[in-house]
Amino acid sequence: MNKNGTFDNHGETEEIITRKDFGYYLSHILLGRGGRIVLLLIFTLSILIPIIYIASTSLKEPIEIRTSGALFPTGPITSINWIKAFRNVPLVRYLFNSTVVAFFSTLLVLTIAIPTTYSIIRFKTGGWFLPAWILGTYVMPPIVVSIPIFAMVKMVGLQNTLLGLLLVHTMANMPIAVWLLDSYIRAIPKELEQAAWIDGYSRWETLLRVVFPLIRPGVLATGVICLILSWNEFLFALILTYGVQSNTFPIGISRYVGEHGLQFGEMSAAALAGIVPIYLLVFLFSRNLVEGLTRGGVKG
Amino acid sequence: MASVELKNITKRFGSVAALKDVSYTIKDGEFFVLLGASGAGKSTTINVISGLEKPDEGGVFLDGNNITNSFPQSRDVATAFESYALYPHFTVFENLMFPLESPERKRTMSRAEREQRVREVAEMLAIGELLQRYPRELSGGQRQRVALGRTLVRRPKAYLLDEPIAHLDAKLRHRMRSELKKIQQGLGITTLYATPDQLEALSMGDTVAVLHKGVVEQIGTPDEIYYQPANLYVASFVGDPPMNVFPIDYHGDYAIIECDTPYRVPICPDDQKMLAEKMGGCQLKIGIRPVDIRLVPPDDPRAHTRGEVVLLDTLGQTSIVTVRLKAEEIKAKVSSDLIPKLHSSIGLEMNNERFYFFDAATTQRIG
Repeated sequence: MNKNGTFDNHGETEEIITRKDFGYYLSHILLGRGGRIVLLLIFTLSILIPIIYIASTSLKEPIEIRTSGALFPTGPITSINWIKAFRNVPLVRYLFNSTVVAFFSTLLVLTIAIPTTYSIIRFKTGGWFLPAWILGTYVMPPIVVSIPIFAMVKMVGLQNTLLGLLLVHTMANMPIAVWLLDSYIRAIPKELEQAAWIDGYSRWETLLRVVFPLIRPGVLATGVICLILSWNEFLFALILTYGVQSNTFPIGISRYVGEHGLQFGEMSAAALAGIVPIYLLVFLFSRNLVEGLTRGGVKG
Repeated sequence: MASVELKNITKRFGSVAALKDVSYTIKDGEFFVLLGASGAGKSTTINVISGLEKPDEGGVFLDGNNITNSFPQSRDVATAFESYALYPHFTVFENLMFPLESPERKRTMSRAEREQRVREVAEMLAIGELLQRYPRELSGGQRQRVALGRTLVRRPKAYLLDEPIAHLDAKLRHRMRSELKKIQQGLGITTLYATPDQLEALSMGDTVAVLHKGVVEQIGTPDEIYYQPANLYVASFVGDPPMNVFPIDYHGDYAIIECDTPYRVPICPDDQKMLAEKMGGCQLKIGIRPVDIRLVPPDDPRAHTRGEVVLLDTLGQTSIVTVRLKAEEIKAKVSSDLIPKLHSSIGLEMNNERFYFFDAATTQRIG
């Protein structure tokens, strides 16, 4: 690598050119500017096609959906699915429930995970055991603990409430949050904190003025991931909520199945309505997720 | 301004003792240099005084107050870290302002005073142009100057500087040595300065402490450290190139230097008297500084021994000549006008008024 952190392969290319074998052409095609665009296009399309399919289905006549599997509408375009999606099912309420659960569980996760991770790294809280245990809980399939969790939530009378679900989401996302924050907090040299103490700041002031600004990108990234995980979470929402007042969006989607037969068009409209906010959020935050902020502070 | 006193400080990391029963006092306003190789315990000493490490035994006293257990924030000392420890999310200006913006100092200094102080220090360290840059945009030497600047903007009870100019280029380092000394004298702030560089230690320190594996080998003025080294370690650590040390067989008015080709050197009357009083029949080692060896023609009657010139290091005006007897080598530091040809034969005349004698068993200097 050269000084700017980019790969500098002049010497190598020259050598390869002298023997223009199959590998040369292949790497030239794949890694050249054109090749890269094609690869990115394939990659992007493979993600986009399902979404395009949902979008187009939501605009098709119900008859067309049942008879044709074409990607784009062949018949007339209609808004009937969108209207019915919001009329037949309390979709707005589900989206509201999901927002409340995702937002507050993420807030709680960060409030607990930041001090926990800091404590594990700086004070070696729990030795090797606590971090291993925290990550260990993440390895376990959630279905394994679904019965005890249901029992616990019921015991405290929080079944079928948003609070109950968001507390469970907080618990479920804690390991991943600690795991993600770990590398960000570890990247802060402890000399920076020590320097601040000597410069006349208390531990708390140091956390606020030195540590927190440096881990902010990591906190944002972790927060976005916890939001997505909570927004998409299905299993706990299914077993802990059973009414309009607490059902979240993923459960709401399943409401389009069964009641009036399979309502693919309405389901597609609802699905699109549900993923747009989270996509928008990630898009907005991605600008803030810059890394490398701790670079240059200490020697070496 | 304050005195700093260490009383019987011991600090262990696992089974390794970084400091072993260290005691000394840095007087109010003194420029105290801690000289030692890496791993000697210099940084640990600074961490113990600044409060980043708690000693396992002993106490730290600042102006007579026991601060052994107080948090760094309340000690009012300023440290320049060897690793710089610049705040990466602040510009150079903000880095320099940070110590002055602490809750306590914010009350005592106005914004204008603080900015004035930062600009003064930045100018002195030649980083005035860099104030709006971030640490990641600076070179190593520039970062080190910012780290030093962040210390110097304060007027604490004591400065603790851990190799603060080690990564500057030679010219700037030379300038900074005298600048730092001048600043320290001007402000009269008690300063502990850790360095592995004996030249820095001897030229800057009012008092120098030689630290070796967590033990203070000697404390004294630069002259005492150089001319009256307490033991073999100090004698060979201070002085460049190091002192030539050989076991000897002492016979009163002469001694046989026991190397692969033993030779005889006369002992001056003062040393004879001193040794008669103090050596008490122990085995002796002799130390001869390279500057106290003169090169003479091999057949010159003044030559105590002779050998082959195997290495010449010219350092401008002076040169270091390495002479090999058989397998053993002696280094002499001579004026560059007088250097012999490589591989020529040469005689060595020792200045017998400048011999150092050590007890071979205890390594302590006799005299």
